[in-house]
Amino acid sequence: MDRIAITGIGAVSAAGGNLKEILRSFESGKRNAASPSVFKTSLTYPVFEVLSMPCPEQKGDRTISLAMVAIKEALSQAGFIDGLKGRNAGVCLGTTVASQLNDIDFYRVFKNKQTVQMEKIERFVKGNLAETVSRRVNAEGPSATVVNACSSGADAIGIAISWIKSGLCDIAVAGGADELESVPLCGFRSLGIVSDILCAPFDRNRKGLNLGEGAGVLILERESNARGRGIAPKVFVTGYGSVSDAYHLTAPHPEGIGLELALKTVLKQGKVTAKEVAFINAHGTATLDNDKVETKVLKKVFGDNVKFFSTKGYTGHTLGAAGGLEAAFTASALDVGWMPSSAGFVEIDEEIGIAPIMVKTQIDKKFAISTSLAFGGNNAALLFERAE
Amino acid sequence: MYISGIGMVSAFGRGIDNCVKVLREAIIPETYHVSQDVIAAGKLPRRMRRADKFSKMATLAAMDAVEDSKLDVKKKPGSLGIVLSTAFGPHVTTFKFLDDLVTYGEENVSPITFSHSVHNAAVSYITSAIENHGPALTIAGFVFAFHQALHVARSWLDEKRCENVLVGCVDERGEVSDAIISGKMGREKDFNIKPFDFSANASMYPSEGAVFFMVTDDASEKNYCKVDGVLHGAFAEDKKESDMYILDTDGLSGDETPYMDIKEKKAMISGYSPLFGSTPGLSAFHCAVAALTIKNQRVYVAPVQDNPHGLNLCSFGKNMDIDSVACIKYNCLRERGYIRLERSKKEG
Repeated sequence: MDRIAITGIGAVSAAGGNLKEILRSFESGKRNAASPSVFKTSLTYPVFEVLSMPCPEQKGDRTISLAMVAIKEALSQAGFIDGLKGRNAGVCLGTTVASQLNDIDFYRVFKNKQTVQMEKIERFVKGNLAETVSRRVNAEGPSATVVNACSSGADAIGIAISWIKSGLCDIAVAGGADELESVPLCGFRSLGIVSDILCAPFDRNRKGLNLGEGAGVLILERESNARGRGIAPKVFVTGYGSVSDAYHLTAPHPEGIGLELALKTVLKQGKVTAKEVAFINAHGTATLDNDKVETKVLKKVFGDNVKFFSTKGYTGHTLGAAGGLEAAFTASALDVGWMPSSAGFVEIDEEIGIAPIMVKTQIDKKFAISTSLAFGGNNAALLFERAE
Repeated sequence: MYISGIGMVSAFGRGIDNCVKVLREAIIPETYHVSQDVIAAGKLPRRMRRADKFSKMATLAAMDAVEDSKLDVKKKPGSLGIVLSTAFGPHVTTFKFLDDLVTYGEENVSPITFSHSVHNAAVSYITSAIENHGPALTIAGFVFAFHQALHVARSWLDEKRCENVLVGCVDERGEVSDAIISGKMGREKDFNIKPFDFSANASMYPSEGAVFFMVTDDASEKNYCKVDGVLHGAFAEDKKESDMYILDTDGLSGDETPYMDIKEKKAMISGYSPLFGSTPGLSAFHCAVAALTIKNQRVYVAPVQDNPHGLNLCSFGKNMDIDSVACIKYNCLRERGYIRLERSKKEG
């Protein structure tokens, strides 16, 4: 069986400018949240900004910049320092903010003066995330920008896997990137799900999510392709499940039927039993609904002793980047052999009944899963396997 | 991969029958808006009462494609995938949200408006309307998003992730987008789209609509046709000649001189953008026309007959033997999109 290998991983978030720095933050428990500074707002909710990234002049450029930081790290690790020209490579990336024409200044000028700032439109139209990245890394294969809300990054990885399996490309750059912006902050706040203090996934006193920004990217290729290049893969993606709740525009199904099916799908694809899974890197947004539903399903599928955590206490909810970042963290955890504590958790919620990982913990099995639950009811799960 | 069902909503109204009527009679609409009457008559689920036009157009077209295919989704609710492609997403709602922000302040925006401004709201409604639990996602792109969506559908079928895929395209008009398009083109909208001028400064008129296809690997005589090939990019060359070519010349790319390449083709040429207007999703509308052409074994007259380059233009509608139709699109970087449909052959 020619498995899909991960030959490069790249990540950038508030927790660090590359994967090594991020893992250090996980180990130390450091959480870099503060009031927004990369965009203008009167709101003072804590957000997780990538402070190492200077503010660009134009909206949308920041997402591309974040993506390129992660992609460069991943390509370097995979041995593609000079790009992907001539390698039948595809690019599939998830995002939300970067694909929306939600520039407040642009709209204000239009509303007041009936004038269209065409330079902003030109940048927007020429700045489709996957297409721009394809040109920059000389990828000549398929490209797609997935805009599936919070599961965009995970779904992008899933599509890339499908492309490789069906022969559309041999190598894929896949993951997600998103920048912080005032529109989603105002929007999520209006839904009553933004916390005015640091988020606490699964905690009894959780008050909601904190937004964040970043990018998480994997380089994917068939194992035979990697070994042909002299690379012995350390981690594989052996399952992708995507199931719709078909329930509500913003809330998850109360029984989590979509997530349960997505988890069972990846276990079946990977020919793995629930007991063989070391941990689940949960979506864990710290909203009342998500954490309650997600843990209900985790208990049902994996039992009360399930090991799980959320990394959103270190990165915030990075929307379109979340699935990509968390895939990067899950694969890295299997590689380095330990899983981080779930930052922000202090006390069990009786309605949930179980606690996430509270300290850095060694991994004793070779499979792990990352889950993403999206606005609109899509549920994505990715299964990872460490090489023998 | 075969097309087993089609659903459409456009300025002409809703449904394949309306589309065929418009094609037969070459009826150029008086306006390129999807009428609110069409939306209102659509019998959408009650939970869509607060949905915006973008989501409603998408859901109507998707429901029609399901009905046209005769697929019983509830029998196997996890075996159908959905891929929606769009250029600008529900931007009318996005701008409404920005308007609320600017007018009332950051703390007084509407959660309902925000919820509908996300690109995948439409797909969420589709999954609820047809009660489907398979994979569902949205792809954003300004020129080849529909081609990319077809690639995703192809790979889902190949890996047996789904038995059928609903793949489609939606884009809407609005005050701001109209102003953007006029500004981009540097001139006022010109109602007279001229699909065969191949001008460096082509005329266009913005429009809106939705098209969905049910695609499957199940070969059946009831299918419209086979999707023989989908390519896009700098190297998207025709690998086979086709009996007919439909050109995505709607003026949106501005410079349509790359389409001059088609002069080399001896096959019949056509283009139906005057019927649908200028929209990023024109490839999907033309794909529907191509499928109808093959299914009905009838070529439809090109609605505008101005032919300054002496092409072998489809000058009148007629029944004829058509085995294959290719839909061609160029972007402003001269990259090419290509969808080739072929008559299904009897298996076995």
